[in-house]
Amino acid sequence: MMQYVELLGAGFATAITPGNLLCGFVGCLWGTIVGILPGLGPLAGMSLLLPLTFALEPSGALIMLSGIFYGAMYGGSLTSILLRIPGEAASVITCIDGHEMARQGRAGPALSISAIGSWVGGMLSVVGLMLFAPPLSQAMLGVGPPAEFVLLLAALLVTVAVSNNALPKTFSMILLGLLFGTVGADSLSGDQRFSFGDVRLADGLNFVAMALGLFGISELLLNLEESRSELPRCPTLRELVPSKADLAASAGPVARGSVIGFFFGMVPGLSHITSTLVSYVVERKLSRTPERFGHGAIEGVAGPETANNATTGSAMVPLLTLGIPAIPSTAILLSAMMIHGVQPGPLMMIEHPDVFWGLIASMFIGNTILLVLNLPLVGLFVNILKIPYPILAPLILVISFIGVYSVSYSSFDIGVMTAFGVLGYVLRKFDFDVAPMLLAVVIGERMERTLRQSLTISNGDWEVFFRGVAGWILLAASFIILGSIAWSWISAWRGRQRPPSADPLLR
Amino acid sequence: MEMSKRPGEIAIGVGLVAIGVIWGCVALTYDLGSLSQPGPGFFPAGLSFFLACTGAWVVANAAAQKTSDRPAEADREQDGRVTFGSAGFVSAVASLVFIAVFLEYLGFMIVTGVTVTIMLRQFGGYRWPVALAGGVATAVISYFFFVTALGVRLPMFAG
Repeated sequence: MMQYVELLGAGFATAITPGNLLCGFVGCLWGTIVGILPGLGPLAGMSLLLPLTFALEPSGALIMLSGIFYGAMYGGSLTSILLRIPGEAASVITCIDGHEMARQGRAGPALSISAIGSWVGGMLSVVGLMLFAPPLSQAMLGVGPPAEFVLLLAALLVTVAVSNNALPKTFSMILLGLLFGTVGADSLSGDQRFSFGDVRLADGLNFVAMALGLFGISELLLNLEESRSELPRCPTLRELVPSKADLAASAGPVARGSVIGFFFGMVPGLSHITSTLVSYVVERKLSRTPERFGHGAIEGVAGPETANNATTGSAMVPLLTLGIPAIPSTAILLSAMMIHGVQPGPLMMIEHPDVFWGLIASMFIGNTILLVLNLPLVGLFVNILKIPYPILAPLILVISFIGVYSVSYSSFDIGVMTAFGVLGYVLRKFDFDVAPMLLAVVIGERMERTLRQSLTISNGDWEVFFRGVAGWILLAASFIILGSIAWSWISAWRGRQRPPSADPLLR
Repeated sequence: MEMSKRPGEIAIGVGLVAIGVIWGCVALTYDLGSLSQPGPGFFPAGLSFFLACTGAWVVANAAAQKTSDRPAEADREQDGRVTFGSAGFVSAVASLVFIAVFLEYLGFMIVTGVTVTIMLRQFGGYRWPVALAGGVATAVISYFFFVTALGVRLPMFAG
C-alpha cells in the first residue's frame, strides 16, 4: 500500500507541472463547454481535440483528454437542470428532478448538489481505480492469447447485451467496426488487405478521421436541423449554497451513487448511462416518499449525477489494466495512448509509471478544478448557449478538418471523415448506435491477432477458448449477459404492469 | 426529404448485407489458411459472413414490425418519420467535400475563408459583408492559433 502512495506522490509531481496543469485546465474547460452544448458530448469533444494533443507529451495529452471526458459529465448536468436539455446522454435522468427543482426556483441547490455529488463520485472512483488497477494488472500479466481473445470478445458481447439498441442493430455496428478495422496491413503476415493498392490505406483507415466523422461531423449535421430553445435564468452565487436539509438528504444518494457508478463503470457498454438510471431507481425505491420523485426530489439529482461521474474513474480500470475500452470515450483515450507510444494493459504500470500515476493524480486535480470552475462560473457557461449555431457550426467544421489534416497531412482523410460523418448521420437518424462501431474498430486488430495466435498455438483446437483463464472469463461474461437480459425482461414486464407516467422521460 | 423509419431500416439492412457479401468476396481472394494456421483472409471472411447474416436480421426485424397486429394509430406512432438531407446538411457536406478536394490546391486560408463565409451566409442569414468579415477573421485567427501557436503544418496559400 505504501508503495502505491509513493507512486501516487510521483504521479502528483508529474501532474502539477505548469504544462500539465494547463493541459488539465484546458481539458476540463473544453469538456464543460462541450458538455453544455446540446449535441456535443465527451466523444465529439475528445475527437475534436485529439489531433491537437499530438504535439504534447504523452502525460499532458492524456491529462487533457481525460479532463474533457469528466468535464463533459459536469457540463451535461447544467443544461439538464436549467433547460431540460441533456448536454450528453448520461445527464438524461438529471432532467427529471433537476429541471423540476429549477422550475420551483431551486436551480441553485440542484446545481450545487449535482457538482458536489459529481466531485465526490469522481474522487471516490479514482481511489477505487488506484486500489483495483495494480492487482488486476498483476493478475493479467500471465494471460495468453486465448484468454485475451475471450476477454475482448466478452467486452463486445457485454456491450451488445447492455445496449439500449435493438440486438441486430448493435451486432451489425460491431461487425461493421471490426470489418473497417481489417483495412490495411495484416498485423501478422504484413499482407495488404482492402487497400486496393492505395498507399493512403496501407496503414488502415485513419482512426481520428473515423471518430471525428462518426461523432463530431454527424453531430454537427444533426444539429443543423434542430432549433434552439430559450435561455434560462441563472441562479446567483448566494442561491447556489445548498441548505443543511439539502445536504443531509443528498448524503445517502451520493454515497450509493458512488458505489453504483464505480461498479457499472467497469462493465463494457453504455455503463455511464445505465448507472444513472439504476441509481435513480434505487433512490426512489429506498425513499420513504417516492411520490416526490419526478416533482423535484433532490435525491433524484444527487444519486444519478454522482453515479454518472463515478463511472469516469472506474471506466479507466479495464482501459489501463487490460487495454480494453469499456465505453467509447475511453476508446478515444486508448487511441491517443497508442499514438503517443503508450500501450495500455498490464505492462503499462511497469513501462510507463509516470503516465499511469500522472493520469490518476490528474483526475484528483481535474475533479477539484471542475468543482471550483463550475459553480461560480455557471452564469458564464450558460452564456455559451447564446452563441448562435450558425456561428458555432463553421468553427467546429474548421477545427475538425484542421485536426484530421494535422494527423497525416493528407486531404484523403478529410474525405474519410466526411464519409463517416454522413454514415453516422444516416445511421443515427434510424436509431443505430454508432458507439459500438468505434469500440470494435479499436479492438479489432488485437482481436484478430489473438484469435489467430490462439488457433495456431492450439493447432486449430477451439477448446482452447474454454479452458483455464479463458474459460473463467467466458463464464463471467455469460453471467453478466444473462443477468442483463433478465434485468431487461423484468424491467419490460414491470413497465407493462405500471400505468404510463406523465413524464416522457420516465416512460 | 422525409421518409418513414421502416423502409429506411430495411434499406440499411440491405446495405449491410451488400457490404458483407462484397467484403466477403474480396476476403476470399486472400489466403484463408487453415484452422491451425489461419491466413489474412480468415478473419474478414468470417466477419463478412456474420455481417451479411446480421444485415438480414435487421431487414427481418424491420419487416416484422410492419406485419404486427397493433392498431394502425400505434403503428404510425411507433414508425415515426425521419427528415433528412436538409439544406443545412447538403451545404455542410458540400463544404467538407470542397475542403477535401481544394485544400492542397487553394491553400488553407482561401478554403477556410470561403467555407466559413458561405456557411455564415447560408445558415446564419448574415449579410455578405458580415459573412465575409467572419470568414476572413476565422482564417486569420485559425492561422495564428494552429500554425503559429501549435505548429501545425498546413498548405497556406494557392499554388
